[in-house]
Amino acid sequence: MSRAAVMEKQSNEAKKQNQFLEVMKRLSYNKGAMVGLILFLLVVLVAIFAPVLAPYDYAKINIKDRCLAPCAQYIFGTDHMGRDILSRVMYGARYSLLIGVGSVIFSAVFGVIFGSIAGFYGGKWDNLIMRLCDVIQSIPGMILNIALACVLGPGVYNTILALGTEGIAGTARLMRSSILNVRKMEYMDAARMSNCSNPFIILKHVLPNTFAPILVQATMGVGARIMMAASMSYIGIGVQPPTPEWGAMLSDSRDFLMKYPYMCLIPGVAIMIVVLALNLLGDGLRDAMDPKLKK
Amino acid sequence: MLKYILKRILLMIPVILGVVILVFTLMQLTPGDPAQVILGPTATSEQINELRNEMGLNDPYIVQLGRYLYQVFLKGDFGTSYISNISITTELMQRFPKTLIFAVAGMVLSLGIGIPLGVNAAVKQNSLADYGSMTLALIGTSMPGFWFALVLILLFSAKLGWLPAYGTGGLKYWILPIASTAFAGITTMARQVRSGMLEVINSDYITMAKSKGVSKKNVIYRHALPNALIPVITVAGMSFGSSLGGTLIAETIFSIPGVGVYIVNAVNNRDYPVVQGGVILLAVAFSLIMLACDLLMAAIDPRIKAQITGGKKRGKK
Repeated sequence: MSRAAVMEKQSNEAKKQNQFLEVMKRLSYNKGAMVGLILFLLVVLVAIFAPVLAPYDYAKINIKDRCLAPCAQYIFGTDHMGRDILSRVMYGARYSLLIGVGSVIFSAVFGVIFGSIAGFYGGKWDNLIMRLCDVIQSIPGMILNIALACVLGPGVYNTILALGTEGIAGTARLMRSSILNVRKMEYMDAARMSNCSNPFIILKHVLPNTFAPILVQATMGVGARIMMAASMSYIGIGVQPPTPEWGAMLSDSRDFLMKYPYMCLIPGVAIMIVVLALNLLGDGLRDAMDPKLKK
Repeated sequence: MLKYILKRILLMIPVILGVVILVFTLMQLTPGDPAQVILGPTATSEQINELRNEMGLNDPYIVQLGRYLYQVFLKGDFGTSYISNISITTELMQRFPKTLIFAVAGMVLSLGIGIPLGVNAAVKQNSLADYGSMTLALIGTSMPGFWFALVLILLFSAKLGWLPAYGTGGLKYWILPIASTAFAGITTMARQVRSGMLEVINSDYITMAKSKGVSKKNVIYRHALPNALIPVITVAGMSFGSSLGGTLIAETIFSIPGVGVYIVNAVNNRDYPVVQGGVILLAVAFSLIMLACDLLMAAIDPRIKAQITGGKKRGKK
């Protein structure tokens, strides 16, 4: 075992490269994950190039053409103010991705910091942080989000903040348990013996080795957050109309559900495609990184 | 074992205390003055100040927190709504059963449908049934619950006219709301059970059982399933939590007067004591279910049981 550890340290750089390539290779064999990746990249491209791709101005009100069912001129139809739904869905991708990715990064950064402190230093810090996590996690996620949204108020950035704060406890707990696994490794003793400072050890030795579960959780998390954000917008405490966020569009279409069902179907399908893509990718990543499946 | 149960129940007290303090503190941080909310925009600053004094809002944070804790824990009183001036505890107790039906039905359905689906998919791995149910499960986990509810309304109320779109009443009023909140739970459960089963099926003792000549049915139901189901208990608890969250939205869509609608309306009206009370109630309900799951797991999993009872039982064996 100790010999293996020494060897690992010697060929650290080369191996890290190999490991990453190996994971990517395994991921590329996974058809589902590749479909997910391509779908997700497509959505990202649409979000980036929305101004170029969108056929109409997403905010332009055109009362003359209101409530038009999908037709040649408006592929996805128009909403109750005559705004082109296709253009709005394209711009909506920006908001949904921003909220999903932004809130996950927010919880990842703080979760990793708190989880590292708890796992690495242990003792009273560990106790304090973990008991706080217990309290936060005993409130169901959606309900905590609503309470946080109540404090922060509506809006895109406040929604990111609410969703991000809610996720910190989960990431911290995951980080802590990974660290507890890593802490007993011999390369940690080696690093400590060569007089590395604690923050250096965390950044250089702990994080790269605890990265996998965090990444999988984050990938899945983006999808879950997009759905939660849409729910919050729908009940009027997240992003507010006329912002073309998908949940807000659904909230806008609420009164027209029976008469013009396409208004509510299209943004929902958009949400589903993104979340599906992320779930496929997340499943694939988990399988590719799980050493238990190595044969 | 009894000692362990007692210990776990005692350990829950600080967590619930923490929840109350956390939620109270969050609500203290909300912008806006409750006195202003009650008196409306025409009130003078003297009137507002007088009411603030009367309500104890001018007291320091610690005093207010202490008063709230005293009220909640010793009197079971969540205060009164700023808007309707009705006791929040009465209102919550009236509404809670409806929300509870939702969450319990969601949990029961996710267990009752999700487990057979997952087991079937794992046993017939890579078959059509496996692909079919897993595709369905993937779609289910990728769909926002409230949107699924809208689709259900469109299909079963608008198009087919079979079920009412909203309101409360007989059993048929419950079908769509419960289906919409339970679906995500069912699919999550099916995925979890499938992966748990696969892990177990590939383990040595299953190979051993098979090579002993145990019938296939027995291998699955006697050897594999009980072990695969242990982690499922936690998932069931979590699904109760997410159903509780899902009902918040579903109640709004289907206009069911449960705790969810109460909280959402309170958020929109800035009626903070109601949000506070509602969130605390749901968090306590969730914690109790999670505690029950943990205890159940300790009771049936010999590995965990051995950890709890320590060396004593080991000697007997």
